[in-house]
Amino acid sequence: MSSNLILILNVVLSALVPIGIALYGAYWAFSIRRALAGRVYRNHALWLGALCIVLIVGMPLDSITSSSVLVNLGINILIFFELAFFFAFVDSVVPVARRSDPLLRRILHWEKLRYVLWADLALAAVYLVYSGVDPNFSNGGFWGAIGFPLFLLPFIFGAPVVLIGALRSKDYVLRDSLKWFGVLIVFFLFNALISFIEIVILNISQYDSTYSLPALAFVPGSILRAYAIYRSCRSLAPVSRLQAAEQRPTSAP
Amino acid sequence: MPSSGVPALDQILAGDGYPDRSTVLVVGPPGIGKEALGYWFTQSGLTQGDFCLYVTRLSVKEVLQDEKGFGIDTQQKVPFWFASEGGQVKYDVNDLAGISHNIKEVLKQNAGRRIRIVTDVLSSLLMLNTPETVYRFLTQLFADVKQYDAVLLATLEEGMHQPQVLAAMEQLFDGVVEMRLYEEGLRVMPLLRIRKMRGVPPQPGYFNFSLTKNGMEVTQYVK
Repeated sequence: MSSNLILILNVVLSALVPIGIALYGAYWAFSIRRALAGRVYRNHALWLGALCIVLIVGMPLDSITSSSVLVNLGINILIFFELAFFFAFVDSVVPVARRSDPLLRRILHWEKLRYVLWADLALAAVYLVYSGVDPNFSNGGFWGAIGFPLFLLPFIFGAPVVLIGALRSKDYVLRDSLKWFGVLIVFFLFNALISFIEIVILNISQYDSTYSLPALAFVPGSILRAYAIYRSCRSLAPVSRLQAAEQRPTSAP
Repeated sequence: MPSSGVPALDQILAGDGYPDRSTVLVVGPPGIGKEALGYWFTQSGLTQGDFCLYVTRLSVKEVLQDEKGFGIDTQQKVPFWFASEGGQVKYDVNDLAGISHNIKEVLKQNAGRRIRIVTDVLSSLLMLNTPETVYRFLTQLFADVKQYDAVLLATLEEGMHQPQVLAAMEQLFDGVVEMRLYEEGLRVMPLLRIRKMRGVPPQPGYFNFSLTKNGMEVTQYVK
């Protein structure tokens, strides 16, 4: 197989397919929002749809490389906003999940933990700005090693919190949506780990990353991540199809 | 017969509204607007001088804020509240006997008037009690409702309870209004159906509905 074909396949499977699935998810989130009347549920659907769009915009950002300081800085700021938006959604979903637990149990002391995680994200913002101005800052060494953990810490805690919230929720509809949202965070972390491994390997030995095992694992990770957010959107409300027998004419009011 | 507060829905219900001395269940997924039917039913009752009792797991402030979202003027007449906060009577989800006693007292005190009761507590009661306990509680409550000139409207979250629990609840009520989201091609639309209503001929068909600040619009569903 030629390297061009592999490259095309890689782009289609790791970028275009997930973008298509996430776009379809966003469409469903906005459609369900339009059909709902409750303020809380409409807002939840709106934010989930917006998150799909933010993730779609964020997908190609990691692969853009430039020698221009301004371009790098711009990309890093966009990446930070993507992470901050993602975490803000996690933060807003946890209290909703807690309220749907009849016993109103605290989830990993989220009320306190969230401040630590927001502080961590603030540090990540400083890190991203600095590494945008000076690309050598994040290449190797101590500062290079702490970059990924710094960005991912809020999600390392966010994933179990959302999944525990889903398990405890007695609202079966919310539970399903939360479960898939938790799965989305897990695959987000999985892909981040893959990227981290790839960068480490690249720093040790110069090799063609197109054929590497991490690159191959990244593709299903991206597709499953998009599928998880699509399922989370579809689970916002029980939507069913009308059976033919149910479509009898009614007298107009 | 007490009007539902939605003229289009009254017309579907044989032109008059909900049957006298009846219990009506509104079933639907969270967020579809079940509570709005309760708000308009209460509002219509207050306008006509009926005694209205609102039993809610939320605070009065939260309900009033929600009502405003549906264009209901909450500055004028307000119902008698059983609420978790801000009501005349404190609502405690763990005290079924207390709820039952308080409702009975209110019914007795307003025996000469037409009474409307609206409640959103059924789902939380079913979460914290066995279905048998809630079933017994409702049977007693409905007997009281029918003894006086009262109509009770309760909302129930679809998707939160086992199908057999939902079926048992539906069997207990005189009328069941179903609100659902249906998928047609790439569209999601809210539809409404009268699953059953005492004194009204069975209506198997669906109606489109939309909730606006001006009320509820109901139109015939055409595929």
